[in-house]
Amino acid sequence: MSEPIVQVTDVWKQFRIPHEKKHTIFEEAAGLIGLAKGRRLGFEEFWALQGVSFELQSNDRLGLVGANGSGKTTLLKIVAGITPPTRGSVQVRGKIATILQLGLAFHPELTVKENIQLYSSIMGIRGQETRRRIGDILEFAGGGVDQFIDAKLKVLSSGMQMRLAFAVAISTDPDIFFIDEALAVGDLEFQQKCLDTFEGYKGKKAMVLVTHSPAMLTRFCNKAIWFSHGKVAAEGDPNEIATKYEAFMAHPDEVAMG
Amino acid sequence: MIVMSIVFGIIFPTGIPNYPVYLLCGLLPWRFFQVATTQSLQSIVNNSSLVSRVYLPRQILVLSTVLANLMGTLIEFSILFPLMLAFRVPIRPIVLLFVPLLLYEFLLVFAVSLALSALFVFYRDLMHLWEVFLNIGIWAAPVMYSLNQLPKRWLPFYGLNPIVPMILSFQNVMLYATFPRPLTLVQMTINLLAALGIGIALFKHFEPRFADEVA
Repeated sequence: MSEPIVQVTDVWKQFRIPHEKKHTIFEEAAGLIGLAKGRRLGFEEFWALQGVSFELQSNDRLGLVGANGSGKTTLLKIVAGITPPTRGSVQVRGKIATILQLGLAFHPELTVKENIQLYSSIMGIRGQETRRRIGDILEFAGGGVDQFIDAKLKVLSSGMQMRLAFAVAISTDPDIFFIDEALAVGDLEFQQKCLDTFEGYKGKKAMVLVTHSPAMLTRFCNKAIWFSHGKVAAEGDPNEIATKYEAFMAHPDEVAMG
Repeated sequence: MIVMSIVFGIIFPTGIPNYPVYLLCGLLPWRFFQVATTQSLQSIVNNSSLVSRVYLPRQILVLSTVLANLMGTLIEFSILFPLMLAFRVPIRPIVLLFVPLLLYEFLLVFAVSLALSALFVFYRDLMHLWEVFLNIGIWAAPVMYSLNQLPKRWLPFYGLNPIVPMILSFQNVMLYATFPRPLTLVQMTINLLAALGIGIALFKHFEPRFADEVA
């Protein structure tokens, strides 16, 4: 095997759960006085990721499964460089398109067209090139998005925003796709269109897919990781993981953790 | 501007010759500082969708706000020249020094904005504090009056206001066609370096936590 395109080594991520909302300088000052009086203040530590390691080859399609809050999205954000890990290291060799939580890095107050241009320029595509591609992007998005080209993004339905997000992300030709439960919003026709497109990337581009559907895992991925409480609970063949995961989710209390 | 010209030019005369021109020479750089820092204060928080969904150097968000304001200021400066003609203030080649002065102010505003925008992510009342601060700031600078009108022993305090030397330089260059004094230039340099140092340090310190905080 060649060098992995993504290498994640023993990544830990800590969040702080504040017990006191301190969002102003005033409150901070009041907190200091409170501290002087010996009141207990501060925050609780929450480890969203606890020593996660994995590798992604340039043609891998990795599926991530796990209960809500098990750290899947946090991991994607760390690999994409949006937030730094508290400990551990991440190495990425390539351009990542991240479709997190129903949308790209879109700005709701800008128009559809401006958003396409904004995201493309963040992904390092020149203005001229983007103008040339806008037609293709809208065509891929379909679903009537092209009618709204000069409307503010926020007036689009969530399904339309998602269509646009996929169309733009695909047009920027990244090396790695991160897709976080985003497909669920699309109608069947668009889901099929995206799946067909991704099918075409098999063996060419790397993908990381966060999903709650065992069917997606078995159909799409060649590798799977099951997350539980910020740790890798099981890793390996998607069919095997899908079966285990399904069994666990049906009776979370009875089946011992892998 | 017109209101202030009437109040300080006619009702309470300040005795400054060509008062409207004097006023504008100080007011334009002041407005750039005021509006640009107020807007860029919110530049990280208002672009939360960009900060929490993709990696990009976050300084760009601050930089773009400051640049947009610089463009606005350039347009505002274009009213100064007709006004100078109307008041028969001679326009000498030295006025071209307003270009490097604006560049200087651009860097100063960028440095202050870096610090403010990073702090605002964590302290949301900073906006109101900064507003109060700016309201005091304009009166603590020789914009509407001149330093010559003040008792001599007050002058050292004006050295504490970091934008005063810059405003003096604008007035010198535009209105009096004189080169800023060396001491003023030294003060300007120290202020800029200090602002850049603090701004960059604060931004670097807080930046890793932006995405977790604004999400």
